[in-house]
Amino acid sequence: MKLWQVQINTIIQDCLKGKEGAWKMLVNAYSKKVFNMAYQFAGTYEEAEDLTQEVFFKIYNSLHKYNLSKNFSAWLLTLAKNHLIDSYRKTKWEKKNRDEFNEASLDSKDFVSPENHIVMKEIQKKVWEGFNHLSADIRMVIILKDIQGKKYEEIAEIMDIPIGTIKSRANRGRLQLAKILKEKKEEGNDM
Amino acid sequence: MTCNQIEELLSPYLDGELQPDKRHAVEEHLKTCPACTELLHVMGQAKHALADFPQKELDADFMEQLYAIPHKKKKFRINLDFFLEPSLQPVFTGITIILTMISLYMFNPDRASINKYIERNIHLGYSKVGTLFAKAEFYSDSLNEYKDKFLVSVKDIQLLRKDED
Repeated sequence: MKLWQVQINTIIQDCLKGKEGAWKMLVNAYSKKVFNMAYQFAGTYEEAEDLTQEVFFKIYNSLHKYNLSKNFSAWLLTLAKNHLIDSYRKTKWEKKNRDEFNEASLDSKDFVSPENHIVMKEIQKKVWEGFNHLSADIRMVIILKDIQGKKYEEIAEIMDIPIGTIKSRANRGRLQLAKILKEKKEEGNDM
Repeated sequence: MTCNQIEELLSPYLDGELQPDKRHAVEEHLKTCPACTELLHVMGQAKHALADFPQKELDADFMEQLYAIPHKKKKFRINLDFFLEPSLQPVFTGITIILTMISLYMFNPDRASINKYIERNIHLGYSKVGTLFAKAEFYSDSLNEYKDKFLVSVKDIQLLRKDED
């Protein structure tokens, strides 16, 4: 068992004993990941906050069910994924708008020139808007694979579906996004 | 290979997961197909854009709300999962049918004629049962009669035999 897994198991056992510090450590370790997953999935800041809170509420109430020999990160992300997709399906008709893409939060150090930086901002904005055209399952795979950089094996464990299905969803999602980008580019050129 | 077949391979091509023969096929196709080349280029741009997607920071107030979760009272929720058990489905179906019939009766504008019809049928039922009882009584009397006759004839036979002796 890896060192981090041993540490996290100790934190969970402390959480179950009611130690407040342990719960804070757990929140500090995973809140940003869960929040960003919810934000990218749902598209609005308010909704991401609500969803993150609901996910952590569920985590707190389900900690006693967690098997300490399993991968905690995968267990937590599975729980988050299930909650996000279930909430989306329950209120699908409400999910039409996304927040404006926040360009200011882009980290410019990765781009060699200001021109590249502007181009990348524009592409990211279009991709962000294009997310609404992806189905919940495909959107989740794209978030886990291309934004969070997880391996296909990890995604298969989180989503609890075969790796072949994950690869096929990733392919469909990327193709859909590419076609949306292409269309928007052509629209931009026409104007 | 057609453009549709190539489209299916573009994602694993970008991930560097294609076997050499398929990779070669994709590259050969791309040399002669500007549409697929453009699609691959845009897919690559999207993948790069996603990898550098900005990550939001959580504000302190929201973190406090997450820290406070153990202090929040668990919402009182009635667990109704047992309603979904498959074994109860025939019961619910039966109840639904009975309730539908009751509502059809209760809200029927021609309820009086339904009542009459029911009464007539009940009456008919009673008279049928009465007839059946009468018939049963008749058969029972007849059987007793046959029984008596049979016993008398048996006795007569015995007496005749004694006379012969």
